[in-house]
Parts: sequence; C-alpha cells; structure tokens
Amino acid sequence: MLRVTPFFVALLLGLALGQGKICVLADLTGTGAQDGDLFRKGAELALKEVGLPYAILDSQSSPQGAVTAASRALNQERCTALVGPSRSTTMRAVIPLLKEANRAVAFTQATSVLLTQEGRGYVFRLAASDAVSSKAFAQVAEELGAKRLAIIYSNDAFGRGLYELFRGETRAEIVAAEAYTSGSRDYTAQLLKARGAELLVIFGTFSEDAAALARQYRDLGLRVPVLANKVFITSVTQQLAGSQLDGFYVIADFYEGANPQAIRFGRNFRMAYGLAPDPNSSGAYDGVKVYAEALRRAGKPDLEEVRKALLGLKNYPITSGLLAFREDGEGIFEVSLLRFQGATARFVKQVRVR
Amino acid sequence: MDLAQLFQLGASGLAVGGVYALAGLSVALVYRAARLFHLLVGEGLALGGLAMAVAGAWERGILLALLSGLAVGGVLVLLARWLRGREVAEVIVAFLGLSLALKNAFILLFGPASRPAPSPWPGVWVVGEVAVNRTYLVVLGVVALLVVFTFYLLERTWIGRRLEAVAEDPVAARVLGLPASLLQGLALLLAGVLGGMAGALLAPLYYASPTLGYLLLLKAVTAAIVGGLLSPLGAVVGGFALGLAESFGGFFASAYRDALVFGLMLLLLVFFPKGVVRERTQTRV
Repeated sequence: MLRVTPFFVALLLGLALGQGKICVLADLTGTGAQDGDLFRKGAELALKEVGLPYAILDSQSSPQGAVTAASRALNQERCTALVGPSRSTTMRAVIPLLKEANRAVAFTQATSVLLTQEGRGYVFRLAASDAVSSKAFAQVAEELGAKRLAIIYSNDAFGRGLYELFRGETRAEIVAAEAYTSGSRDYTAQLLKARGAELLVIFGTFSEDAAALARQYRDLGLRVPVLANKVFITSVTQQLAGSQLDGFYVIADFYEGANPQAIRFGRNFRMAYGLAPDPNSSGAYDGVKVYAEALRRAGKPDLEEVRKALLGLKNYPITSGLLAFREDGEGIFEVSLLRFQGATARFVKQVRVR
Repeated sequence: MDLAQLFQLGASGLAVGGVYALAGLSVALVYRAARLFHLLVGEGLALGGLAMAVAGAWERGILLALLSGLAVGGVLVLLARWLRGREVAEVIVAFLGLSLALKNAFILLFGPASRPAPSPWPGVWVVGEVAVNRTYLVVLGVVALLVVFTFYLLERTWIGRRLEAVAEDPVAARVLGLPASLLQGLALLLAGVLGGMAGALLAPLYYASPTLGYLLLLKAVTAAIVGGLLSPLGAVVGGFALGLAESFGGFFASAYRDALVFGLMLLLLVFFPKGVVRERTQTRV
C-alpha cells in the first residue's frame, strides 16, 4: 500500500503550484562558508516542507561569486525566487541582474538600507534593516543609561553602514569609534580604546571575528558592558567563544524562543541537524516559506502576481516576528534584545522601534 | 596612550610578531637553501594550527604540529628537486597550484569550520591596570627557543657552516664533496617544522582553520623580504617589526592599519632594497 508521507503531499502541492523554482544562493566556500552551511541547512529544511523545485548555488562569500551564482540561477536554472545571498555586499551585487532578468524576486536577511532602495520591487527583506537596528541600538543604549560610548565596527559596507546610521541616532557621546578588517583576528588595539566608555557597541560581520573579539575582551580584563549585533549569536560564534560571551547584550532579529514560529523552527532544525538554529539558518528558512506562501496566494510564478501577494501579507508570522511588507520591500520593524548568561543567550525583551 | 595600553599593545605585538618571525624564518630558510619562494608557508601554518586543534591537548598538539611540519618539509624537498632549473613562472604556478590543492584537501579533511585550540597556560595575568593573556608568554618562550635553536644550528654547528657554503654556491659545494642535497633537504625540513610550529602557536590565539594560512602568507613573506630574504636574522627582525607595527598602528589608525603597516614596510624596502639586515654572504668578496 502506498504510504502517503508529508513529504509526498508537499511535493504534490509544489507541483500543483506551477513552475515556481527557488534558487538558494549560499556562501558554501570562502570566508563565510561556516555561516553559509547553516544558511543552506535552513533553506533545505523549508524546501522539504514546501516541496518546490530548487537549486542550491555557491555565492562564494564574494560579490563576484554571488553574481556568477545569480546569473546561473536566473538564466540557466530559470528560478523565480532567489533566497540569499545573505550579506549586504553580495546581495547588492546581484540587484542589477534581478532587474535585467525581470522574472524573480529575492529574499534576504542582509540589512543594508541600500538593498531595498536599489532593488525596490525585487528585493524583500525578512529581517530588521540597519535603519531599524540602529534605532533599536540607540534606544537600548539609552535604556542602559550609557552616556559615553565606544564603538567597534567591521570596516566593510555592513559594519560601516550600521555605524554611520547609529551615530546619527544616538544622543550619547562617542568617545571612540574604531574599525577593524575582517579576518585580522587581533583586536587588542581597538578594544583598548573602550576603556573609559560606559558601553561598548560592536557591529561585526563575520562570526570568527566576533568570537575573537569576545575572547580578547576577556583577555584584556575589560569590564565595560557590551551591546553587540546579531553576529554574536550565530552558532559559530557561540561554539568558538562559549562562556566568554557572558554578560554581553545582543540585538538580533532572530531568537529561538521569541515567538511560536521561531520555537517550532528551532525544534525542527535541531531534530534535522543536531545543531542550534541561528540567524543564518532562520533567514534562509523564512525566505523559502514566504515565497511558497506568496506563490500559493498568487497561483502562478508571475513576477507581478507574486509581488502583489507579498505586499498582501499582513502580520504574517515568521521566525523574526510578524511580517508586513511595505511598498519598498521592508517587512520587519522589531528586534529581540538578548543577554548571555554564561554561554547561553537569554531573551530579555522585544524592542519595537519608536 | 597610557603605560598600561603601551604594555598590552607591546605584549600582543610581540606574541603575534614572534609567530610572523617563525613563519618568515621558514620562508628565508627555503629561499637560502633552494632559491625558492616558500608560497606553501600558509598551508604549513594552517596544518600546524589544525594539528593543535585536533590534538585537544597542548603537548600532543606540539608533537602533531612537529610531524605535520616535517610532512610539509618533505613536500618542499620533493618540490625543490622537481623544480630545479625550471623557469620562475613554472615554479610560481607549481607552488600556487599545490597551495590551492592543499587548502581544499584541508577543508575536505577537517571541514571548513574554525576550531578552538588548547592553550598550555590559559587565563589572564593581571597586574594593576594591565591584563595580559598568559598564552602570549608561552608563545614568546617557544618562539625564543626555536629561534635560538635555529641560529645555533646555522651558526655553531658543522651542518650550519656547510649549509652556508651550499647556500652561497651549490655547484662549488658539490665539487668540494659536500652532500649538498642532504644539507638542502635538512634546511627544508627545518623550514617546514618552523612553519608548522608557527601555526600551532597561533591557533590558541586566532582559532585554527583551513584558511588560517591564507591570512598569514602575506605577513610571512613580508617579514622575510623586509628583513632580507637571505638572512634568517632579518626574517626574525622583520617578523617582530611587523607584529609591533600592526599592534601600534591599529591603535593610532585602526581603519587604516594594514595600509599604514604595509606602507611602512614598502618605505623600508625603498631605503633597504636588500632587507634591513645584511647577510654576511652578500658582502663577502
């Protein structure tokens, strides 16, 4: 007797939805390979649930790699949705291709405000943008009573962009603003500048750098409280830094216990891979699920119809909160504030930007 | 900058500079012995670091790194034989191709993930306002031991004196009946070991990963060139200078640290095109 598995049902459902095809652009090689592997796993978990045809391509942690992968996705694979690339620099590089092909939408958790400005109508963001995050950082810094801030940021488009936005939002005095090059791994000089500040704000891009920053912060015996961005709660950072993260505040758009969708995703992800979920895996998971929902509502993978369906999503629950797209493709306006106790991040509260 | 900051920047600069010094020494030894640019130094470092991480305990890690260094040294011996008399372009392509192949082999063997590596003396040493990672002290101690051992071998032993003769003129050394190939092989094995040890010492500070060497290749080659490619002492001086310049340069201009440091190194090469330390063999008539 034929056993009807959930996967079989999902596959039939997928076939019934037409020729919509998802291309996942993950950093499977290069400096972001560890995060990229989690991104791929998150996407695969969702793909099993929705049963749509798909291809997974390597964006190689670089804009050039992302352009090659996107070109293949749009021209050879004929995909109607891209999930990823996951970083602002790589996502930004593929926007011209999306416009030229004019057949697919792209989902990202990359946070640069430029992505939805330049990719309006094509790029849909499933996480808080830098504009939202910078406001949240300023709010939380004020709530923590910090009047003198030191800032350390990665010297790339993401880190510098977030720093510039935050500088415009905060009313506290900035006593030091220090950049670092990703991969340089020795951050003693930058961290020593934090002495005398009441709060150290860190905007990092890569997990290995975040872990090294946490370890060297301990090595230098610093006591200034730390408020850091979501790269500090990735699985890689937590695995490498462990309890050296104790006491760090983190602002993130994903936390496993923040809402029912995140809890369910976290449970399924752990069951499937034996790993803790993180913003990389959750972002990819959400991208696939949101496209599948939009395709279901649109009825066909036509770009205009899918766009309309996406803009019709109101308070649609995803792992990073309740999604409601504006015309510009921005969909999330809240973040989670977490604090590490030992090596474990605990939920403090949800921060809605004012 | 206060005294505490000066001390902490100095400690981190010396420890990281010590690792650059070992890697630079490895590059200089290979060039001196076989007139080859040791472009596999990054892979040697990565393998040494991964050995330390996989071993789980520092003592075992040092032993594994030593063995991995010997293996890399063995590859260098084979390469030196195979590439003898070949064009520079062929040599560079061979090294780069092998470097790429090894990097991917490490990813296949160990996975792409960074791994924490054990420290022999974990924790922080605190005196007043100054806190120094105790691993820095161990790194400096081991670097000092290895550098002293290498210089003793090169300057004070039968092997070292004959190696110098081979470095100066391998053909004449063969004519005089010196075992040039054997001596060259020993130097290359030593270079491999120094590279592996550099990786093992760096891993507790930077984490170990297959791409660790990629970050450090440029630093090692810079240390060797600035110091003087034919001069082991120059490579050590170059390594420490680079580490300290990075540490203090980052404090004064963090966003432009690399530009500042490599600009400074370029300036040194303008004034000292053969490196800041002149080797005796270059000045002899």
